[in-house]
Amino acid sequence: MWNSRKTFGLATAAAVFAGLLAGCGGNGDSGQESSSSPAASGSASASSGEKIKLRFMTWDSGGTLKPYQNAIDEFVKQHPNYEVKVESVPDNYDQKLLTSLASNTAPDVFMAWNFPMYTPGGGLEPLDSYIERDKVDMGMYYDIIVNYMKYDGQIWGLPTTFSTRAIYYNKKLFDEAGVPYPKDGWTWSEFTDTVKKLTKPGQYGFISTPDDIFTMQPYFWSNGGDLVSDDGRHTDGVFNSEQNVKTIEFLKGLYDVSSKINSSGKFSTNNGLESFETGRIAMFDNGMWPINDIVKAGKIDLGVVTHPVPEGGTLKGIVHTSGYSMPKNGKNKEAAWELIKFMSGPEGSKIITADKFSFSPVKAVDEASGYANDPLLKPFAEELKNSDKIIAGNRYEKWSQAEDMLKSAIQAIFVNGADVKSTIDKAAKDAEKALQ
Amino acid sequence: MANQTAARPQGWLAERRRRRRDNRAGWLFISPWLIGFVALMLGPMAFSLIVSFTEWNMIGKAKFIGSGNYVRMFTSDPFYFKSLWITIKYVFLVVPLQVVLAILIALLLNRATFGIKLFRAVFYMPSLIQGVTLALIWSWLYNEDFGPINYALQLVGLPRVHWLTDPHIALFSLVIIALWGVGSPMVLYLSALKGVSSEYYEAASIDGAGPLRKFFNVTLPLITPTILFNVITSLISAFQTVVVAYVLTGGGPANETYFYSFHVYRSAFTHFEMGYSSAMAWVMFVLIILLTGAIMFSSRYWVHYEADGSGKR
Repeated sequence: MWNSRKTFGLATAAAVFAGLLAGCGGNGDSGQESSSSPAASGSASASSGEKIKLRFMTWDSGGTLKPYQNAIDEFVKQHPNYEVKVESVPDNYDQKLLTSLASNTAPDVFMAWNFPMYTPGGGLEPLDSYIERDKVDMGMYYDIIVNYMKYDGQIWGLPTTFSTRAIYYNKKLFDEAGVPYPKDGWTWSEFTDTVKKLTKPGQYGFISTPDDIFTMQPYFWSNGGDLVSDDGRHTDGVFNSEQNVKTIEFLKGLYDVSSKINSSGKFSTNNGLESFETGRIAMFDNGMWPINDIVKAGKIDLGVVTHPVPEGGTLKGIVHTSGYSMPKNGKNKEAAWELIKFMSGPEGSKIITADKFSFSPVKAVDEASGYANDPLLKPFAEELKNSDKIIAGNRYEKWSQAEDMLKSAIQAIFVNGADVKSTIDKAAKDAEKALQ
Repeated sequence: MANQTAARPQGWLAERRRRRRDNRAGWLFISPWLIGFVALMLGPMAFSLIVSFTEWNMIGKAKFIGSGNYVRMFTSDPFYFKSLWITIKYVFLVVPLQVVLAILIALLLNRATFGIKLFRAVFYMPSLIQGVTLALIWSWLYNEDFGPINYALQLVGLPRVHWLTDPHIALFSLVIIALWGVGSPMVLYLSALKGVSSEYYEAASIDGAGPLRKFFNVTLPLITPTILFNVITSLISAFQTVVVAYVLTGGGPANETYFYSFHVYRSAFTHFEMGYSSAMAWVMFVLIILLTGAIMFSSRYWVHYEADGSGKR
């Protein structure tokens, strides 16, 4: 009796202790969870021999995953001893990536864009030595795209694809209202006027949101301003500049005459596209990705124009891009590097950007595809021409807290009608503190 | 029971052995829960308490910074008190409204009418839909241009309401969504009402009490234990509200629905500040315990337990 009781006590203690351990390793568990639930599986062409198994993670899913899957299929065809498993994580990507890096269960290759967020702590492998050893010509890429791959003096990824943003417009709604189609180089006031003319019950000229300062950056840049200094550490004297007062006044005016229906929540982008495709919104700010699908569906007569510029300003577009990266503790870094080189290089990026999905970071591929001459894609190429700034989020690791403060200021101005100058002065000082 | 004990060997030693054996069975029976509690709750909680004293972004090494995170929330975080205030407003709107509404519906459904079972099912059914699904349904109901609510308002000549984008209205819109789940407490009140003995009502009738008098002097006191339970559970869940803000408003407009839990969530998974996020979560935990304790303490003045036979304790 005594013995069995003792055994039981020990067993309980062991169970409790094991539980504690499991609890403490909680982040490790969730990391494994993320990697064991692939939404799409890779393909294997050849079958014999010892395979090199790689895992590839992306936030793309469904239709936007297909281009990447095509390139991986081609890679496997050329390298029959490889097996690449594709893991698609459309939601909470950063969260999954960071937990998997923390628990050493990260995929061998993953797409990444927010290098200032991932690199502190040393989770990522810098690629400089690989590039040097294999003499990868970084000059084949657009300079600004290469800038996005750098943080803290090192290169953390090879570029995937890129797209700028421009304004889609629905020609039919312009015709109905008797408004001429917008032309590249149009001004801010022309834009606001056009939005007004295209707004009537049940229809809006444009969607404007106070919640997304990411997409406001082209307006700040084109007017000679910025959200934060080039090194990403100072907002005081930058965000509250005279130019920015003008820019914010313009954006507030735009907000006042625009639709606010989609200004909120997580699903806003998709709702916006849907509203545009069903003719409820006449103009829509977006990247080039869905253009080919819209044209194929043939539901609306689509036009595209560059962002409007302030009087005397220069158009400076915004770039969406990302890199293929690998974890510092990867088990098969040489093989991962082979996949990265292929995907980012002329061959891989040509496959991915086929069908007008996006631009290739490799200049020669873009020239061959001739997308810059396509009337619907030309404005996106125009947006890139004078673009010399990288987005605020890629400049310094503490940006996201500062961003919240600037965003609150913009919201107070848009939604509550707060005074522009004093509100951004205070926000610039608060954010400056958060960046220290 | 007495017979069973009599059949066993007499003496305090045997008695102790028997108890020990019973205890063991008890521990075994609750072990699934116990293991789950320790592994999935207590362990991570202890871990998060430790993390709350550090600066940690999940990949790097955690840096011990003492009470730095706790100092920060009270001194230099412009969103901290804002989010706390919004959450308190929300809790003090949701909890009383939910209690009153649930009791009113339960009273209606406590009548013996034709088809009452159908009505009960109908009123309970909405509370089966929860979380993101519920939020998405409401995103369509609240849609300002094409949503059915604004359409109905327009039909009767009323202006459209900016349910989720007017800073003065958004929080109330979310309160209405919370009341959608009134079916669950309603069922509890219904069973509490069924438990009130008809003798009390007969006695009250003989004493000449009308329906209102009966409600306030008989029904209400006798269902106070259920009210206590519901107030505490809905208080806790209202404090932890995050999904509606995450899906519907993103904390906006102008941060008017930026709940405390949403701030905790964003600190952890947008800013990747695990330490600061854990610290804020612990402050909320203590706050909820204090509030629950206060309600429990106050309950001796307003909750009746019939079994005592002495009314208020």
